[in-house]
Amino acid sequence: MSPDLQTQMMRALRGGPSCLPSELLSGTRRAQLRALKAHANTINHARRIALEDSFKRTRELVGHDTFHEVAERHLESPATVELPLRSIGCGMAARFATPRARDLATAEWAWLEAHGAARAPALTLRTIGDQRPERLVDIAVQPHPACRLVALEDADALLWNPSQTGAGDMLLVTRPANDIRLTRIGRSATRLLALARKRTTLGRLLDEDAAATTTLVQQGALRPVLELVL
Amino acid sequence: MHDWLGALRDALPVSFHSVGLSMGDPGGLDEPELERLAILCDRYAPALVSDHLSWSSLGGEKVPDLLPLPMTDETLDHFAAQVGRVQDRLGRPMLIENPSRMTAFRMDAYDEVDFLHALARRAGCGLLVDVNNVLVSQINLGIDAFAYVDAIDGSLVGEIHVAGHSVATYDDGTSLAVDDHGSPVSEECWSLLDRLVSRIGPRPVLVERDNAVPSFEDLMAEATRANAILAQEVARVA
Repeated sequence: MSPDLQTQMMRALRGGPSCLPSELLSGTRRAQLRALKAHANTINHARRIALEDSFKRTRELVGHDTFHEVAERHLESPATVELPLRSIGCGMAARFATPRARDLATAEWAWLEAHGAARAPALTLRTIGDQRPERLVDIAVQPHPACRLVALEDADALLWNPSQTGAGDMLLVTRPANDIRLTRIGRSATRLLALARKRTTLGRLLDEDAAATTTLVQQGALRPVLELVL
Repeated sequence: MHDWLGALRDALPVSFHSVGLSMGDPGGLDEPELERLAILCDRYAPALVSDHLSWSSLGGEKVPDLLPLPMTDETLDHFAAQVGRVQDRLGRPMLIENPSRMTAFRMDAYDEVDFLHALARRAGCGLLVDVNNVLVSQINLGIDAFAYVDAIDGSLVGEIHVAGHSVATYDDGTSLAVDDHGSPVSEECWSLLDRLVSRIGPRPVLVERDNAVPSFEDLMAEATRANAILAQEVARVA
């Protein structure tokens, strides 16, 4: 391959005209620079639009200029530019100045992660209702792949849409089917999810806190662990 | 998304057009991206799979653009090996799209069509001919777009794209065309499609529009025009 040529081109895309060696491209210097500028603009534009699309609510909250100041700092990080476009907003939420903006951005990123997560059947109240009690308590459960948990700095000030329900300092983001749900949950439900991450049984969760377990099931935060029956 | 795509696939053959494999990366293509593509191909069994003669990453940095490659033997060796890697993983041949070029390398040793033919023969892949890309390269590099499409080996072509592009004209009289997929398909692009199809026969045609997307009626009018060109050729051969 031509790693040297590509390194030179990449350096010119990052550093501008002074980094473009005269022997790399054909055509007049003006034409070379216009072409490189067009490529650089495409790259820059794609990254910025990806961030704008990832954090629409946060951008509206902080304003266009502030958002792009934060985006600029985020894109200067070498770790950021190693991310594919669909993940380029990862870590950006922590860069906002206020708790309200950080909370909203973190929630938006969790929403996107839930949206892109693998599909899987969630444990539902109906499936539980169909089980005999002795079987019910033995059902092994894990968090649903689309389940995300966000620690809010200022939960009461979270700016989101009316589908947000519940109370507590944690925001549970779930997507049991096509719709994404936002639910504020407290310490007990959070602890139950931590238990489920290590794989546990529904019986254990119900013993710990039946009401919180019901909330997790209602919101589609859990899935049954499939067990092979031989 | 999967529900919609599954319903479409059940009704019609689908074509997967990747922009993320970065086969021109000297460190090798994006393996996680290939795995994701393989999962999709297993699930939907698309009729066609394609990506671009380009690179979009280097030394770990991801670059959201389709950057040009020098047309050299070294590039040919590397790219053919990467296409082979994709085809082995997917268990099927793929199509490689001709680039939309804003610049060329001093060390280019191949005419673009010759390079694509050599790649196809070496890797056993087919070609996706984007006639708008040919127009963009004509404006930026001075190639002859009609001579280009006349030189393409029709037996290698599996799919054709048409699109619009923007052109900036400068004080010195020069222009820069950008393949932005943000304007209607130009008359010259339709002429190129007609010229190519009348020589090689009908192929699946995609009208690409990513920016400044117009009304559904306007999009359908372009799809209808593409279909009319294909139908005309089908009628002529029959």
